[in-house]
Amino acid sequence: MNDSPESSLVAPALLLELPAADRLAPAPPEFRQSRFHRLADRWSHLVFLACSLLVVALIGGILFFLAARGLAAFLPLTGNTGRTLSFAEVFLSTDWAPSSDHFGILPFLGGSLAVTGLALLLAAPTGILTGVFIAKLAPSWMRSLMRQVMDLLVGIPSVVYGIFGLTIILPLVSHSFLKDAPASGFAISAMILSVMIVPTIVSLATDAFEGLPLSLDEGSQALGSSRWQAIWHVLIPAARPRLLTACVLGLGRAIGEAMAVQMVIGNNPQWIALMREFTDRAPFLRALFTPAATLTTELVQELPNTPTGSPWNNVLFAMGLLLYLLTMVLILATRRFGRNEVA
Amino acid sequence: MKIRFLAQTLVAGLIALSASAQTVTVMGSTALGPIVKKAADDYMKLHPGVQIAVSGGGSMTGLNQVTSGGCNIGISDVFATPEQDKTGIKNFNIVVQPFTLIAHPGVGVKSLNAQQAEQVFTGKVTNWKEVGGKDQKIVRVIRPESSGTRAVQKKEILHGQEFSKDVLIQDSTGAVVTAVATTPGAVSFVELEHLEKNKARVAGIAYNGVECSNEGVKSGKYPIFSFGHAYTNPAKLTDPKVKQAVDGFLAFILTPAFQQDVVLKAGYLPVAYVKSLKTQL
Amino acid sequence: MRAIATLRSPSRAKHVDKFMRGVLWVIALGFILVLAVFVGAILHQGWPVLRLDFLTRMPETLEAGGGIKPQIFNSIYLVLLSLGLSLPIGLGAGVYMAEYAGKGRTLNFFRLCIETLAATPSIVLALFGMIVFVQTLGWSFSIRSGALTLALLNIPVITRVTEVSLMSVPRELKEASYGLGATKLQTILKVALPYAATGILTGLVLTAGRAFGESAILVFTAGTNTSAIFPDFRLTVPGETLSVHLWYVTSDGTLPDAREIAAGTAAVMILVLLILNLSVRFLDRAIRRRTR
Repeated sequence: MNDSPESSLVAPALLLELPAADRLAPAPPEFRQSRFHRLADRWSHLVFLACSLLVVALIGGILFFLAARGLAAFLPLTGNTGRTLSFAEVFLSTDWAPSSDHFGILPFLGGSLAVTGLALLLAAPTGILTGVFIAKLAPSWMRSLMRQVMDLLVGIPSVVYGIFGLTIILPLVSHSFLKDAPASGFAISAMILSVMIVPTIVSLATDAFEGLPLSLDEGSQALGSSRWQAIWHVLIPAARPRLLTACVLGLGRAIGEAMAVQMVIGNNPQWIALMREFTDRAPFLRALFTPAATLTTELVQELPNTPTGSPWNNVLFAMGLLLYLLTMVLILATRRFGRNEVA
Repeated sequence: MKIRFLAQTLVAGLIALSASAQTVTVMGSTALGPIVKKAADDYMKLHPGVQIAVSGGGSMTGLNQVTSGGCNIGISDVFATPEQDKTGIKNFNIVVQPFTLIAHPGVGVKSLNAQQAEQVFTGKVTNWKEVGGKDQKIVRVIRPESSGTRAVQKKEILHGQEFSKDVLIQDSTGAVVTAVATTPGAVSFVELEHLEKNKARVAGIAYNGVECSNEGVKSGKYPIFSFGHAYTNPAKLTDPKVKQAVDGFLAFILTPAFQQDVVLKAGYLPVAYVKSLKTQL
Repeated sequence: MRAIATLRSPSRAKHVDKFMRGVLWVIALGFILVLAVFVGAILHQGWPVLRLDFLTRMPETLEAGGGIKPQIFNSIYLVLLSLGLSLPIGLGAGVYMAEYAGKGRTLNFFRLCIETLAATPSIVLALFGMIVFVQTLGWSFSIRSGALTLALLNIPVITRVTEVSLMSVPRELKEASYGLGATKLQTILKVALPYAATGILTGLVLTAGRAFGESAILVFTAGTNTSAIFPDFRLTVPGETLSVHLWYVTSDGTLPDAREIAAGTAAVMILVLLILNLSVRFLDRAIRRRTR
């Protein structure tokens, strides 16, 4: 990562590889220091270690508390007020009607996957191509301009994205496609999400292309291929593991986004039933604008309005736990890609 | 130098974290929030020694927290669950909230009787012409599962039956009104104040021939309304100073002056209007 | 190589090349356009509302005409508190990873943890904060619950930035310090950290921006109301920030002028973001001047 901190800050904690470290050997013993400094030197690393261990403890702590509340739905605990649920009726059912004792979370899982899938469909190709553009084709003024644009896009708060969708995109769509019926749903959420995750993908893709050995580029040009041929046939395949990582991290960001999506998606847990009713004559367009719900939006929407200890409340925490586990799986997946690259 | 400054900030922060001031904390319903916040502001002006912190979070958050002692007063659009009641929490009805059916202005129906209203929302009736209106498909617009309005609607209009699956869910009353105003054939159920603010866009539907109005509720002719609740937990109110402030504050909300001036202006009705207290909802 | 196969029709390849370059330019310019439309639209909507009055009045609870004074205060206060809490921890962890952890499994494991924490959705952190601070400790929706949970969001970013900045300290500099007889701790505190300070500061400003815009965490830990007193430094009162206010007035919508307030608040947030980004660029330039 030879470039400025600026680019690494777009997704600072997401970057996976660091330069071979200039780590220090301990100071040679022949220099004599005061007793205080020697003691301080000997013990200070424990303070630093404690800080690192705190992070580890946080990861475990989050898992513990979410699991304690989320798994309570499936266990006959004394704190529970309702009946004990089975895994199947929660994770394998599309019927979400908590006040009638149905707790299927598939609509939310499906909603999350549909929205993030659509968002990735928009963001991955454009993001990767923009990465190539910045790393290999753009003149330097364009390069720095694009960096700033991406920095701004990643910095815009999600509620501001939400309000933009709500006050500008929704009325526009409703007016132009839906005969003024209220618009919401997958397509608009995915559009907004794709803009939100594109900086992550662009930043990591740019790093991926910049990190490729120049010989690849030069070699294929020496063979007479055009710039685009070199990019398409040589550079993109060579960067594939890290591009995959970029997409997975973009996916992670999209699946966890709550507020922006909540403001535009319409928050309808019955979206599957709703779509079933009109598939016979449904244009694809209408399905895209069906109000729906995701794991995150449902949490924002309903968590404050459910009694502690009720199956309803516990299942919502289980949805939080599921999101957390998904994050972990995605991070571990990026590790796999990294290993493949080395091999 | 920078590190010393940081250390100082941190220490100061930790000390401040451990010392908490004496305040009455109120949590719960976002719908009732504004009116309780207003009451708190007025009350603190009258009693400068008392601090009242009002935060939202939703009705059930308020009830959960007051039950566990996390706040002193929990405000809610709905009654506490039986489990919460068992902990000995105490209910104060602080306002009355009338509800009305609304529809898109073009449906051609001015009134529904109880049975028709029920069938419209359960899905037994799917076209306005079946209840005396135009040949137009009925579009049901309702609030999400966790909404207090929906709970009232389910009990009062549907008499506990399930809603039809073919519904349009809107997550705030504002969005419901907009959806009804712009969707031909739409019907919904909202707080009376939202009909009054939007008379130009949506039409009110009378229930059993009676239009929803403050007078109707007061005279007992119009039956659909709910209470706004404030719950306290006597078992957890151990500090006499806080207890005194809580009692004083609740008494203040129920004074005729506050009920007449503020409650009416905010779109609610004074509790005194409804003599016979309903036991649930 | 497959590229060789396509050499058979060089003129077609040339056309494709030209076309695809055009496509790349269009995509890149498209993003610039998206940003311009976005910022332009938000500022355009909010501009009529942005009077001094709006920034310096208390919010109304029932009537139109409220301001956002306490929300501005809470935003700044919460960001500073959360940075104050997360900076020592982030710095410490960053120093450990850059200077002490070695290169083996330990470092890998810590990195994995930092990455996981960084990728954890803010709504999940919000649930954690709600369970631990709001419910278990009984702190209710308050500034302290909010600041502590918000710190969780900052820690991985600060750790990362510290680590990266320390890695960029030239080896010769550290060796010179050892040569003068300094201990490792002295070298870190007096040579490496000061050298890395501008980089860390840049990271801090961006972290501040992220914390400033965060809403999901604060809805569940700091609440959606403000104290009636201004300024209220107590940590036990609810602390609605600008971003939460923006979400709350839009989704609840009981205020008659909710739309205007939301538009004005969004414009304020965009302006703050622009200012933060400008200062980052300024800092960045300072770094480059020094490294030259």
